[in-house]
Amino acid sequence: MIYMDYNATTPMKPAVRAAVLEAMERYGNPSSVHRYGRIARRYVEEARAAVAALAGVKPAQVIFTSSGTEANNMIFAGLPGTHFITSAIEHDSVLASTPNAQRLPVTTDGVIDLSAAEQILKVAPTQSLISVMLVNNETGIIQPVTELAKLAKAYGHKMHTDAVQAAGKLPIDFADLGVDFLTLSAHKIAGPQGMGALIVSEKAVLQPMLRGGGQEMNRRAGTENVAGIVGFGVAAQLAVDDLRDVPQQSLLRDELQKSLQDIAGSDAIVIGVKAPRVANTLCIAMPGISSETQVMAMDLGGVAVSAGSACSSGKVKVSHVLRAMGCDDDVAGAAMRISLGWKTKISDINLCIDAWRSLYQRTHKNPQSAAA
Amino acid sequence: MSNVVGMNEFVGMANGNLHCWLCQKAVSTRALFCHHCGTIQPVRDIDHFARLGLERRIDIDMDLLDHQYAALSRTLDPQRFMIRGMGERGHAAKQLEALNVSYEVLREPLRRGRYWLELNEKMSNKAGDGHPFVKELRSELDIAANPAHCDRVAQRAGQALEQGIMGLMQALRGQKWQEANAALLELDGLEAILGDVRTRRLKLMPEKEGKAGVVGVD
Repeated sequence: MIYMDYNATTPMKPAVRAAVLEAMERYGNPSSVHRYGRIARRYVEEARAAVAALAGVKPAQVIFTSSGTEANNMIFAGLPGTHFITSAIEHDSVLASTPNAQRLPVTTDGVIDLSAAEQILKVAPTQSLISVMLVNNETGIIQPVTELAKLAKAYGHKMHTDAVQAAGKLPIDFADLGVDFLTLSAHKIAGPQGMGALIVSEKAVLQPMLRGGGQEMNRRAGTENVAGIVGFGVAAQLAVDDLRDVPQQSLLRDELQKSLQDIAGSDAIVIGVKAPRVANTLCIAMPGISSETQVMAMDLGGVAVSAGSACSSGKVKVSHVLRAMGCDDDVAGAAMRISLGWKTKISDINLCIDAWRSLYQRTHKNPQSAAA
Repeated sequence: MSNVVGMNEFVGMANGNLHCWLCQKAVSTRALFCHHCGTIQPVRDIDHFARLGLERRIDIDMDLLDHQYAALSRTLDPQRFMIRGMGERGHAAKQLEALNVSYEVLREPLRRGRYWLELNEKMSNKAGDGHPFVKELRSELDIAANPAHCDRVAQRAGQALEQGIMGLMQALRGQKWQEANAALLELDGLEAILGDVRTRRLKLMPEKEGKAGVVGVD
């Protein structure tokens, strides 16, 4: 069985696992003043510096959370009375937190429509919060966050970006992006599940969502998940190697894409092919065959892929992302996401191609000769 | 098996040939850190593009280059290795040094062009007898009698340099190696002239102005 669902979660790197295990062997509350507490505090602060380096910020700008979802929720809960504007292709943790928000449209290429966005931002109440993801989890399409942040500033708004799917795939620089808030998640960069971070600008004022102790500089109460934080720190440090592997990963993904297109010809539609995409993601639709059927067939063929975002997996629903891109339901309900990662090898790509070919041949009566 | 991607593109992957200096587990040639023990690795013999995590091509996205450099150099910040042992501190410093060299080479079109020729083993070692335009500028500079004249030479050299770089890039894109080598020779000559202009201009400056320009304030 091979794993090609890195956008859902990533296998931990051995050094991360070792660091988590070592941290779990120890104990101590980072808020305690005795030796045990001080050691735990040192662990947390070392990890904070590593996560800060990943995002190009000062350590004090990093607030550890239990997940990317919590970090996203913190933004909206922390700015009561604010007018929210998000895009139509955001993660459910953003969409569900902002049921009354305005939604920025995307073009058919899957990129935020900047001219439509400007019209909306221009007339929005000042000090609105714009939230747009840096990389879409289903399609891998890179969103024009820097441009949106410039527009947001020009019209007196604040900007948040969910960069969960961008970390380790794109170099992230908080200041260059021009945002006020940024979300990260550990388990998307070969770190442990159950760890996230919200990066905030130095001037940002955010009301805490979790109240109680003074942890995280009074911004998020609750005793720190020391082992998880340690793992996040190591994963953040090792993520630079993923940045170095991008060209090779891009070759693998492009080979996979080309091979699947050669097999199915016009029966396969690559989503977002005209847009800038991160190197690890391929979203491909086989109209007429439901996503769920495809995922199950691939699973039987020994390849773990996803029908879309993991949060949508297990539910039979059409992708809201593809719908927002204007795809018909027969395409939006027939898409599969294949995502590569740090362990993906050429042999995995070839196995994936073979499994997909079998799926295609079983579901199409007259497979093209290109499949031979 | 069909659909095999060119294997040489993946030489850098962990294949058991390279080992972490500390834990002895396999590491990739591109890896800054051992993924088994998390230790910083020694500088490996990889090209400048691989060091910055960029696709190997003559036309690079300069913004991406800057962002990759920023992200990688942040991780190698000596401050972050202060509490590590001598070995790790040393490797981190050398990695940062190598990263800086790679960045400088790729950032400057002329150096990148020269490196591209070297990488493709198309670098000509012929010294050449100088480009006619370079000779012309050199003669003009030799008889320049005042700073304004020097400035005119510098302006012409600067313009030619800009055009020459574009020509060099075009030749490299088209794999016209001879043309590229010729362009490089001209560009070298133009750069040398620009350097000489500065020296000559200072010599020709009135004493008071010259002193202020060269020595500055005490």
